[in-house]
Amino acid sequence: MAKILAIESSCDETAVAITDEGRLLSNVVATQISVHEKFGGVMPEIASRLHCENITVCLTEALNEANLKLEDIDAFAVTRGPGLIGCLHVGLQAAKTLAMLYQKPLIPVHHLAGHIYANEYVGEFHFPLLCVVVSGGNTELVIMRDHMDFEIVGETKDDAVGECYDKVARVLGLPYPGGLPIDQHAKLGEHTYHLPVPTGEGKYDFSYSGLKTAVINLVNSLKMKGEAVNVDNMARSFQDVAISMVVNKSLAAAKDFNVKQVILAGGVSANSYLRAQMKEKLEGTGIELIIPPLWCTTDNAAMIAKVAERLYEKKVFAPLTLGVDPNWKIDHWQEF
Amino acid sequence: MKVALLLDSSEKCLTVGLSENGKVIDFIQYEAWQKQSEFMVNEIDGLLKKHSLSRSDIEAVSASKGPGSYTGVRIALTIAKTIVFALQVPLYLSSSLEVLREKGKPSICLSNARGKRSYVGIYEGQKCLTPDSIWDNSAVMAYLEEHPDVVPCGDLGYLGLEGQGNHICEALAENINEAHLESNSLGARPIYLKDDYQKGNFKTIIRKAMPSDIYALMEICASSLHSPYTEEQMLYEMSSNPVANVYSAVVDSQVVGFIDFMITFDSATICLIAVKEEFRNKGIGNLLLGQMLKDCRSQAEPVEFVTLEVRESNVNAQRFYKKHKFEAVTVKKAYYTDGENAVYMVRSIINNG
Repeated sequence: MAKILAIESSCDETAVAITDEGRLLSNVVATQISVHEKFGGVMPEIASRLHCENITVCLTEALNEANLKLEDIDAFAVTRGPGLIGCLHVGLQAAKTLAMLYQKPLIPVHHLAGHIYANEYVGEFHFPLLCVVVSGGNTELVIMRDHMDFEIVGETKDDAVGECYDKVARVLGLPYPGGLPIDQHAKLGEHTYHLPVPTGEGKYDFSYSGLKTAVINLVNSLKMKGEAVNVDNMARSFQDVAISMVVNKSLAAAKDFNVKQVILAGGVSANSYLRAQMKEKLEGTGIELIIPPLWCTTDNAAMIAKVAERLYEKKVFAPLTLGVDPNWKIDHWQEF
Repeated sequence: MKVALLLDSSEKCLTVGLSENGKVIDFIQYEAWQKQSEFMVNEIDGLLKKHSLSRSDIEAVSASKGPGSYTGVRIALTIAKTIVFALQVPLYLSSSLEVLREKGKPSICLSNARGKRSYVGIYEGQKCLTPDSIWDNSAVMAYLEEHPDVVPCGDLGYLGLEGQGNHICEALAENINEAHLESNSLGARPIYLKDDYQKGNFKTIIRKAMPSDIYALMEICASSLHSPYTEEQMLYEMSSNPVANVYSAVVDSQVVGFIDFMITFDSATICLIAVKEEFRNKGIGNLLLGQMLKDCRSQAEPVEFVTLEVRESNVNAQRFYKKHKFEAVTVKKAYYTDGENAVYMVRSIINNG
């Protein structure tokens, strides 16, 4: 094992973490949420600019917190995808520059593998297991039969569930990111609005654009008629449909693939209704549920370091000509 | 051997060079449109190895900072910032137009800003005759016609012209001087040249202060306030003090003002508020105060009033606060360390406006 410095800049958090033999020595996250909430979503160009401004400050903080020098680091890891291309470039340059200066290995990490492995900070993996990856950019069901062995069995055919939450929040006049405010309002409301339950093509596939459009159309038509939209009830109706799709498809896959564990990963795994539903539905099935700590549901570099430790052992190192891949698939993590 | 590393990726080309005592000793330059992200670090590695240099031989980095391709500018600058952070060496930044100049001749340095516009800067040697700005291509062509003595520089294929001068490395090496030294290398940001801003109709964004704002905040403190915080105190306010809230006002990616306030139970206190001199009287202070009031109103436990202390001599600030419904309640004698009195002002939260 080794001392690993990991950098994450795939979306709206500039993050640097350092681990030593699996122990987290520092975990610095500079979030840009208060910038992007003005726009109701992440503005890629603005996010890239802030990464460029903040990256070396975050590196400084991470080293100070860990009380280490760059000379002490054994490998430099970085998220090379998926994510926003301009944002990924910034983290990549910093990691490559450090690997070049100190002539140490450069480790390319898949962002979603990071979200999955964040769970290793709270529990041990037992295979086979099902990862339910739900975030602003992704909605995927992934079967793992061993460490770093990913098979995508289901995915969204259009929007990601988190993206759908953000858009619906915007229509309802709720702040960005939409996950938490919708969750809070849903708790106060009842399922009174009829929304269509989307049907994905494959057995484990998702579709969210229809649901999003249905909410927008319904809100607009109510406004045209001069009727007030009950935000609590709309949030509840939407959340019921959106989350039950995740829960139902996950349960089907968990049973069909005979898994020992179900693991939640990604930003939407912070949703209290999803957590409660998964807990309830898996109780008594013999399938263990691992829920990530809240700090791991947002982007951070500690989770990137966790994957990098595995890759360091396997000697999965990249050349200095490494590029980013905004659409990198998790089952292709060895191709870079 | 002590060398300076020279970097530019602001347009189609990728340029990596080495200089010793201001003289270029070797460089690599080729067209790598949208590939700089992949190749640049590897080229630096190759060039250092070719000359049997290690990181301890790098004594400075000189790079361009824009305007140009947004992503391209960020690549060289991120690499440059990472190197100077790691090695603790000085960073010299130049306009990416300035480094296109033809030696010893007045040069109009151009690059494609797209949408039939150009980034334009006019230079003679190290002297800037016209600062970098965005022109319509028709204005560029008219200028060239009227000024045949001024050499057009840069990759001018997009104007259907042949450009002169391709001495980026020489210019970067020459610019290793006091005038181009970047004082806040960790927080350095590219120049994007937003034309909106130049026309005066800039947009102000109020957002939570971020780590890289620290340098700008310290500068604003030093130039605007009598008893400024130390950098440590400011960092504490920004990241550790659980009751403190620091917001920055940002115009065109530049921090131009900030507010630092505390919320404790039913009251809030303004600790510091300041706006850069050239941005005053443009409503930025109103926006900062507005953000504080918004935060006060969204607390789970209702905040009822806001308090502040202001120097008795600072009548402008008192006028500003009065405009925002603050009332002078009392005078605190010898409140400041230099003995000056403070006017204690209070306003109620429910007072709209």
